[in-house]
Amino acid sequence: MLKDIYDNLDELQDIYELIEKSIVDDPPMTVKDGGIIKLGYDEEVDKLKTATTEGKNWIIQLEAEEREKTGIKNLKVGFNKVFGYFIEVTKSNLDQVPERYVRKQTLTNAERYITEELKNLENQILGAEEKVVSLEYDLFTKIREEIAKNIRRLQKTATMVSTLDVLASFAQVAEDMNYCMPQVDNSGIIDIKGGRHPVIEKMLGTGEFVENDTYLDEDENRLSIITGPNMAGKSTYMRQVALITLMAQVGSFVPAEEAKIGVVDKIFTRVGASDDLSMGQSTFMVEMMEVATILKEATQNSLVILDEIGRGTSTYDGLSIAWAVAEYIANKEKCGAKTLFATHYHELTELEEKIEGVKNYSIAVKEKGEDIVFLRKIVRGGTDESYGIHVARLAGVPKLVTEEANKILKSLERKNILTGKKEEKKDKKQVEGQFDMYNFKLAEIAHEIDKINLNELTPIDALNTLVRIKEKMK
Amino acid sequence: MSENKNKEFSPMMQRYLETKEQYKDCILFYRLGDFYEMFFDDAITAARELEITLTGKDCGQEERAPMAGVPHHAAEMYISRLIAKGYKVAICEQLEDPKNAKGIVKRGVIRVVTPGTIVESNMLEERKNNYIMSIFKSGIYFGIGVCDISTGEFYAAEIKDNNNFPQLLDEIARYTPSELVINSNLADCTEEMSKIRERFQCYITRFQDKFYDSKPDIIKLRFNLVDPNQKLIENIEERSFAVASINALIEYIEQTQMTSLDHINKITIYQISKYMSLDINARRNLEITEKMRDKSKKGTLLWVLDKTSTSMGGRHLRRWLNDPLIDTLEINRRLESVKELKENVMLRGDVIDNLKKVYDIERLAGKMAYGNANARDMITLKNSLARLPEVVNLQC
Repeated sequence: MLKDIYDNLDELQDIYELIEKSIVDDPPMTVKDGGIIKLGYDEEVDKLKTATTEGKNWIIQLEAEEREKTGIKNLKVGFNKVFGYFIEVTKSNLDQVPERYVRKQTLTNAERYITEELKNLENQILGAEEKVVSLEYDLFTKIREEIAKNIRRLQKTATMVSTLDVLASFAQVAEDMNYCMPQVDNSGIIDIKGGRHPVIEKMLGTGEFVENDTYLDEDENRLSIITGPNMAGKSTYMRQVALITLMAQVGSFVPAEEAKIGVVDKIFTRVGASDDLSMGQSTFMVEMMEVATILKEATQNSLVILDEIGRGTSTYDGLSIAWAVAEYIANKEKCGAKTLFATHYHELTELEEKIEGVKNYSIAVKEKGEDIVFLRKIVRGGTDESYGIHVARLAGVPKLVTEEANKILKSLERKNILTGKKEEKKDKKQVEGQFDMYNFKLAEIAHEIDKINLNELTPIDALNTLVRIKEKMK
Repeated sequence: MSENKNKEFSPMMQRYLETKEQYKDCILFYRLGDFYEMFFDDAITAARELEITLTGKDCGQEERAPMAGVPHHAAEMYISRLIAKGYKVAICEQLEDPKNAKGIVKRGVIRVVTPGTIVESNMLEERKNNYIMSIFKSGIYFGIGVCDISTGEFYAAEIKDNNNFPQLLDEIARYTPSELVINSNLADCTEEMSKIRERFQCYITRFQDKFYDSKPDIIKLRFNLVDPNQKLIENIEERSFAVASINALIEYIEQTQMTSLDHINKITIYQISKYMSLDINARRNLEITEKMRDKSKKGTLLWVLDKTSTSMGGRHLRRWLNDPLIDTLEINRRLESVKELKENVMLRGDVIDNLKKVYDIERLAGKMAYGNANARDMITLKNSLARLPEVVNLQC
């Protein structure tokens, strides 16, 4: 590509020469007032220009002569656009004005006159000036047309120069930001070692950003479920993978130690509802429409980023949708796209054992007594802690509230609405098969029964409810 | 306007009304001496939007016609403000020198300015293309044509797969045109149109169907039709959807510009599958060229990667980021060049130093062909061309 530019760049020096010899170096903005064409480019212009400059000398000469003849020392020859050239005499010297002067204009402290001689000079000068201005304009447009005839050459050169500009810019950024050259192929594998988020890295300054690895392929590692607390950097991580892939396919070096990018045909992102609340009431509808599009259009060669799917609705709905979406995408027959799937439903980590191609990842967390530190490092394995209350504490929610929240959490866990065997579990990061769809259905039914207001329930409603429950058990 | 037939409008006003009749959807700037005047509803609108004084002019009727005007030398600024507010402006000039005119000076519209057809440098963003896009919908298929009149770039494609409408949205997102020209088939699809309006802020013009002509004869004569690798396209007859949208866009540009368009001489017809498909959500979420919140450049991928020295380089980079490639061969050609420039520090330094002195050759060339380049533009072009031999001689 570089060689092509170097070998084939049209330097357009003929156009350079044309402008160089014809146009003055500092021309005016307007093209209709002259002062554009260089001396020596056109004989006629030169001749007329000499006439005007000489004419100006004549005027100076005439001024000197008139002073001498009349004896008026401060007699001036001036010019304005309405009257042309005139002789100006101050009021104190009016008695010395000769008769051949014809008065043209009276000012507060001076009178203006013309003479026949002056008028003749004026005609010569202005005639030449007018001619030269229009001639210069004609020449200018001819030169412009001449350049325009070469438009294709100019455009071709412009494209090459701007391509070189972009390539040099990529090289400069690669150097400044310590990027690596990605290996781009059709392997279907995305393997990034020590990847960084290009934008956040630049915001923070180099060295501040925690690096992360990524491995996705078309077999065992198609779908990564990423669990971990909010704020811990899941979204950043997923965007980073998408951006590195995109950068590689644009032809730029990438922020990583090493990167192998099997090209993807499409990138989809679905970012959780909480991140763009501004969209309004129908957020969940919008979210689902986007999910629908992704499921319809993603292919095996696509990269899909799903961030907190199903957040915009109730827990049960949300979890079911997230679960089903993950299952669908992971299914090679139906979709099989390379997918990063961030979720706070740690129940989804079970998919790793159930579906081929799914792997669990989580954000590493260090616990320091009551406090926790997010390491922003992606590690293999799921997590069953959402650390929501820790985050609340970090954010400065009063202790009274977070302590109460902790109590409620404990009591909820004892009720084991969602997670069948929660109480048996110790505080471990390891996820065991504590959840399956059957339990989930039970939980949902329990929730539904709980919602029923017996005081308002008619017999027919009761029957309908029972039918619905039976339906759910299927 | 009063329907009073008792009195005739003054001759000047009659002429005005005849012209206005042809440009109903525009604000008509009517040149009278040193001013562009607007009358009736145009005057009321312009007075409101531009905060200029609303006066009146005798027009032969009992009531004076509402009138507002701007001095001709400042017109560009006022026009750009109206365009930014979503209006079209038609400029009616005096076509003869009033000194030589007998009776009323002959006047005519010399140009219609719309958001997608701006050529004035101070109304354009330097490092961003200003695209106008035409869409031809026929059945479930689409043809699209896209042009930047300031640079002469022209692209076209067809959408004939499944999920055509989402793909159309992707293509609009790729260019983010400032103006869409559409046929009635699309304009009548309420649901689709509301989706387009929701997602994109652009001026939409419904253009007469007769201009969406699928015969390629004229464009074959007038343009170089090439694929993205600059190879001539032979079977243009088979791309009737693209052809229809091209024909309509050319017609629209000619109707508004009314001047030479020699710089638009090449049309690149591409396959949509050549580029990575990124829907508008992905483009927004990944903040490739603008931030989600405030549309600013800072904090985007473009912001990180843009160390270009020229504004045409800046536009080129933006295009590349909007069109990631699929073809590994082409990607690796780019990567190899970047590698060479990265490793050869001296070469890179010299290239960048020289490019910093190069101005926007692309838009300057456009101005030359368009006929609105002044002598200063020529000197700028000359100074830029002066750097080229050095750029090439740097080769190691």
